[in-house]
Amino acid sequence: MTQSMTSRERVLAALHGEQVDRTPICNPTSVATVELMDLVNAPFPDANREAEPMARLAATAHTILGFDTVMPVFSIIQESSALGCKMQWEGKDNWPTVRMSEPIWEHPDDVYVPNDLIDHPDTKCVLDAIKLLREDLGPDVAIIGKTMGPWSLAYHCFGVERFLLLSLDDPEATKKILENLKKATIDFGRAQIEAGVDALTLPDHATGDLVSGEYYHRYLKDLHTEFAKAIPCPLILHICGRTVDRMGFIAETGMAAFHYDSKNGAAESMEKVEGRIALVGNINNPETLFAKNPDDVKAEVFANLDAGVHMIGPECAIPLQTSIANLRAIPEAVHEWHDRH
Amino acid sequence: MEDPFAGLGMRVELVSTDKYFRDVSIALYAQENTDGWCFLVRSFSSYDGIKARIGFILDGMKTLGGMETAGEDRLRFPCRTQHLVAVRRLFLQACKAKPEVAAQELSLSLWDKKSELMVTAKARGAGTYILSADGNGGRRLMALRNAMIKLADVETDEEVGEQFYFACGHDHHALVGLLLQSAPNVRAVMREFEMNASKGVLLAPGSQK
Repeated sequence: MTQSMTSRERVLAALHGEQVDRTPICNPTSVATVELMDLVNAPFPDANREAEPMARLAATAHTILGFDTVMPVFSIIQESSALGCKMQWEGKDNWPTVRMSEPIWEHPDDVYVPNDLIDHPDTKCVLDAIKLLREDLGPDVAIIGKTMGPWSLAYHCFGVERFLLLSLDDPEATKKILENLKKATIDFGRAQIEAGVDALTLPDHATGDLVSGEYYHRYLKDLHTEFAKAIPCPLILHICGRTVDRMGFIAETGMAAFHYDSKNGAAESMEKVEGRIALVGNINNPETLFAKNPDDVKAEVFANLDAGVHMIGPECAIPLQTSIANLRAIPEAVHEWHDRH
Repeated sequence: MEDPFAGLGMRVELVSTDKYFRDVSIALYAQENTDGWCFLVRSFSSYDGIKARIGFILDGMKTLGGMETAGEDRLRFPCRTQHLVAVRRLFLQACKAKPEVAAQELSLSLWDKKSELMVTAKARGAGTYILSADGNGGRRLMALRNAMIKLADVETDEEVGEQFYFACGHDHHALVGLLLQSAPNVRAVMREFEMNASKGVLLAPGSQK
């Protein structure tokens, strides 16, 4: 296999629907592990709150694992912390979380996104890490940032149950909340572009287990379309769970890619999006990457490549105890597949 | 730059934060070569003192599990077989041992609180052990034997309900002594395994408590 593109060129080409020399290996969400944290002395929670360890840990996706991308925003809570949510930062081997049982807002009018959201230490560290990564890795590696969508932010700020009940009882209030929160998504996204990212993951957890495809259409499709226009870089929408019922809508938003879960078959998902949006992800985390062996990982990669999936990567942030051998099996499988085809 | 992850073999167990040494992760890797199976204890931390910490764990595995040195930071069972379930337990136990106390081989007997009997694993040679008690052990001995199956992946002979044996045909007195101590609490041990397995998984906000 002859490679003629840099990692960054390859990823950007795939995100723009252009030809690539081989399928890019991407991590729109975290591939951090506890062993990588030790290797570069960048443990959680420091790597979630300080730019230097954040950048050091993110770089390992390319330098140690062989991915075409790096992604310094490991968690999903940076903006929520900046908005004032109560946080549980946890230790090295667990993820920071928002204490959603102690919501900070109750009514739509409570929503307040400050103009200096990006100056908060937990958002600023991301911007500084992106600058460091660009300096250290140069122009050839794709840097993906992350800006959370308003549905996820609403879960964090109002609590999951309260927000879901509101969405049933009062659609107008729900829309008002989402409308008021979108400033956070846009401001943080634009700031990361200015800092040097090539693309942004936009997680918005209208997940298959809690929210229907119809709900996605009613509450989020237009907002996501608006983001695709307002944030000037390729956007990778991330929603966990079974989402085939909304992939058709997602494909119409103008987002560059959809980061999809292993609960969706690769072939059925490709059929659903009909080439209107790129797909990335699908390699199962809890059963395969965490608990099986490299051959099992490779089998899933091959299934995605056979189905024509545009970029290969884990379905979501990988478990922190995942083995390096299993993560490296992803690029190994991509190279092996291209050698055969 | 040399690849720090090259040639390690298959990772079979991980302590993600070592409570006795700066929360570093320490892993057990299994390697198979022409001489059989051996195990490497490895941390990627570069803190001063990490070598000594690894050395302590290796010493513990030798004492508690009867393993022998097989090269730098490597151990093997004298039978050269894998005993994967048992070695994982042994590794976790060695990591849990207090650094200020040198490990000691455990005896083949234990006081079983539930039956209020002294239970002994008697070696019968060629890797076979039979459990007995200083009273009517009955079904309790069967339960403890079943626990040993879970903890050490040993084989059983249904005609002799209290008996188990290692498929390699070699004795493993130290290992049996160690695992026998956990046998009465096998459910807690298994729960600990499961909890370790679920730790570090990021849940979508809707799935978080």
